[in-house]
Amino acid sequence: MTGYIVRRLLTTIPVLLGITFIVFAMVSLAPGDAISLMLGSETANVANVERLRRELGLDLPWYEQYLRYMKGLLTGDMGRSITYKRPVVDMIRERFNNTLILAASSTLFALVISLPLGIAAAYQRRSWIDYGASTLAMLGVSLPSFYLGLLLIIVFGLNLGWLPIRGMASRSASLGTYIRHLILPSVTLGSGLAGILTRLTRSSVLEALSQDYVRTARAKGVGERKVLYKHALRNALLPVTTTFGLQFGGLLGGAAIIETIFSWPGVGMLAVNAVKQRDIPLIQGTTLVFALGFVLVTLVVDILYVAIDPRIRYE
Amino acid sequence: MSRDMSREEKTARSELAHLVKVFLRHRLGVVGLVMLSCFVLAAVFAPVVAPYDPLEMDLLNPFAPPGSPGHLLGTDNYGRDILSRLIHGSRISLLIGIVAVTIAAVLGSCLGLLAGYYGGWVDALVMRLVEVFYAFPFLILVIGVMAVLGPSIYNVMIVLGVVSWPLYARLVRAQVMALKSEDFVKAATAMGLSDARIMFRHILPNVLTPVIVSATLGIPGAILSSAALGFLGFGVQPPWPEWGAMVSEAKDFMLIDSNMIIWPGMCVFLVVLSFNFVGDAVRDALDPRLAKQLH
Repeated sequence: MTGYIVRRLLTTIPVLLGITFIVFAMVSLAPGDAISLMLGSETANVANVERLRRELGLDLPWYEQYLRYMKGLLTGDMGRSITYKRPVVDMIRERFNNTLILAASSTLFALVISLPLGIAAAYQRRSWIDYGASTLAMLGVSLPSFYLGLLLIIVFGLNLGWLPIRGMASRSASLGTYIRHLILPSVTLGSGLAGILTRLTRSSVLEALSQDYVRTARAKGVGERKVLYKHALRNALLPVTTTFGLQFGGLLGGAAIIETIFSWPGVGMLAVNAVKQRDIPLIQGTTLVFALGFVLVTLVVDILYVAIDPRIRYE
Repeated sequence: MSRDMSREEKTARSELAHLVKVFLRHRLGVVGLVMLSCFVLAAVFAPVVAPYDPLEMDLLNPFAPPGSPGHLLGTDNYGRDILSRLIHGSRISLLIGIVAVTIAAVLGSCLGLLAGYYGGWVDALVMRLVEVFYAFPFLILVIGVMAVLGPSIYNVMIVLGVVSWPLYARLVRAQVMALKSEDFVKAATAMGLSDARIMFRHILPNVLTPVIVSATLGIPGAILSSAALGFLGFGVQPPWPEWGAMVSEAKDFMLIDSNMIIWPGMCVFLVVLSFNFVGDAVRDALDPRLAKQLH
């Protein structure tokens, strides 16, 4: 187990290097001069361009620039935002928890919906539960999240007036208010993941139920409840774990859209605003943070998988 | 020889007929195919089918409700006919979906072919690159690169394509590695054919089917992403009637008129839904054992 974890950790090193390199290279991808792009046409006179070029180290060869960039990252320096004139790290730190909360509650929503629904659908195949679950899953997978978000805003916010549609509750607000602000964004962000996981849970529970060990257990006279929960589910949920890890990236990408729609003050909205203002250091910072978050989640899921499934450990 | 060919052809044809039969048994698959055909027809014949020019404004007649005379789905804030904009929008969305997926499939297949055929450091390099691309949340990387390149319909296609190649590289690489030990490849090598010839003439045709299938299944994803980009304002720009951009324009008038939001979003949803229905049916047709187990 420890051996596996060490090996898995080692494989993330080249990935991390690759990520930082791509994020670093984003500046040089810009057509024409990145600097005049950042300054805008009015302020891009020769003196300003020269000053910013030196400030960003763009007069150095690319490998020295990369080394400088990496050195900065390791000391917690992601550069300064051009529009806000503040360290990118500070701006991300202020919003990081908000995105974490939104991602966590969306994940919770997706799991609470998809697991019971997928299991019930598999267990009562071709019943109304099964058809209902398939329909919901199809909706979740096919509805564009920005569209779902706006529909929910129109119905529950504007027409019925049940739920708040903008922003986050302040820290002094009661828990109830806090949760009410979370509902619409979390449902919107979690619905895609819920759809994918419902379909997957259903098919993998179905597959597990058709295995020999389930037939053996039933033949032995083990109760149905125990067959389902102890024998079938344990095996069925393994692929669900992996898929969850892989799909978490979709959730993070969706956060950029959902935070923008609901004015949720997180890293996703920061990224979208950075793109609107062409604030390249800020774009680099937010992209990097999202990638690191995703790498971390995949890492944890992989290690969890081995912890759950002893067969892999001995290979 | 010719008799063998015709027999082979016959089995191939009956196999295809069988696949079609299995597909047609899948009711939702047929529904999806019909819906999809409608969108494709609308896209191909857009200038003929659309009652108005999608960019033509009628400032005296904004926010007309659906069912108004001459405007089946009403008009938007500039009095432009919503139905005509949606019809022309299907052109943009389908085109982006198809081109983006083609770029991804061609790029990914070439890299996968090289990696699988040569192995060694080429393989290691390509696979590390695949891992790095997979480490980014897809949409975040797309937004970041779009930000640097600037919004335009061509950049949407290029960026969505370039960011999605790893899937195809993985797929092709695995197939090529399996095929490399087949007799026909060994024979080609023994005959002294060049690497390029072996790769593109002998191996590639054998891995094309799964690539085409997954590319087709990848189209709805590309359409969703391009709509999301359009919505955020980083994709196709107004006044072009891209569905995502239309939703984005409409959201400013949410309080006055929700009609403008409903239709373009519905179109994205219906196209993606019909692709998903068709995709499920195709998967069932190709893997009947699994289908029997799951349905």
